[in-house]
Amino acid sequence: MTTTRTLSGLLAVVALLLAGCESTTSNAPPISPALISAGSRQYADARLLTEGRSLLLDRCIQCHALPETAKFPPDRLRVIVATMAGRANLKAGEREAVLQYLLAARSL
Amino acid sequence: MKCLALLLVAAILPTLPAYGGARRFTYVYEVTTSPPGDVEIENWVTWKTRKPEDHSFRQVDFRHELEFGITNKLQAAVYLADWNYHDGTSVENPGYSYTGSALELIYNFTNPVADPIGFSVYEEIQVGYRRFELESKLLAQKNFGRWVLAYNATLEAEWEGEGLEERVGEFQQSLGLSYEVSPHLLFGAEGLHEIALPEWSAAGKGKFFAGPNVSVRAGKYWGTLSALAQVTGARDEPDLQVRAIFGFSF
Repeated sequence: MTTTRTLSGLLAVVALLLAGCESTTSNAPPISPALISAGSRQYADARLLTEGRSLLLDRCIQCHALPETAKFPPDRLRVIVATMAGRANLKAGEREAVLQYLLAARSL
Repeated sequence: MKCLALLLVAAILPTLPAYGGARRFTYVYEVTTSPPGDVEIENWVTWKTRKPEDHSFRQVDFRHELEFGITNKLQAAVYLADWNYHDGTSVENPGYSYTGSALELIYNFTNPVADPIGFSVYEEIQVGYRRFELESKLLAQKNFGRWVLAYNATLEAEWEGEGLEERVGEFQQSLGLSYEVSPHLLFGAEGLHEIALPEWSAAGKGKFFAGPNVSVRAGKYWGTLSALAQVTGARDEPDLQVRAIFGFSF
């Protein structure tokens, strides 16, 4: 019974620690004025960027950790998104939203 | 020769795109759901062996599951059949038996990257011969870059017998930690803690299992394997259980 209580307590503590953790969104920066400004240079509005970030966070993390987008040149990002779109079941408009968000994020 | 084969696999894997919906764990569920329109088949095999009270005990459980992404937040699955083979001196009717078929729904509320913690709820309804089961889970997860920490709290309610007059409950907690070496290879560990609630009265002794896992993904295929050893000394539980899940996306 003591073992059970200890293990239950341990699991509860881990759950509480999880709840207290800060979010780790450095590879998916939130929609800010700076990001919208970066997006506007490539004719992407705030709505498109918001949709792109949302899709990135919902779909891409099912398979892998979010990559550092700054590492990739724009042409490479286009190829990666085109390749991954099939796996993530992204429609053409959704694929464009993810790409525009990533391009804006990498230029921050 | 083995080194050459490993090198070959290592060279080929990165050229294949990663697959969505793959699982990092076999006992712990993640909060993320399959993309809308995604259809996947999963086959589960769980091998349980050697109870402290019955060293000849062995059981192999099978599950055949079809999984569907409905929306960005909702996923459904049908367990076409759960069945098993069991044998040993402590087993009443050795041989094959059909356990049941089930419907499972998972709804995601918060994201494990963007939000402080990701949450989903899980509900499963299973029907079998003289058997009805409801299983509810609260799923929690946090992603730290390549690390994923996931926790499940599960409550099972089961009705058995000719008139479903036997009532059994169980509370489970499971915890998993996984590291993404590459999108094609992940290592981790998971633990399972169970407390039986016979007739929903006094709680039974807690049982704890823990062990490592590995997950491999390539193209439309993925596979995850866990081996859990019993940490507590429950005489009626297997000392070792190994579970493998193989997935394929259509």
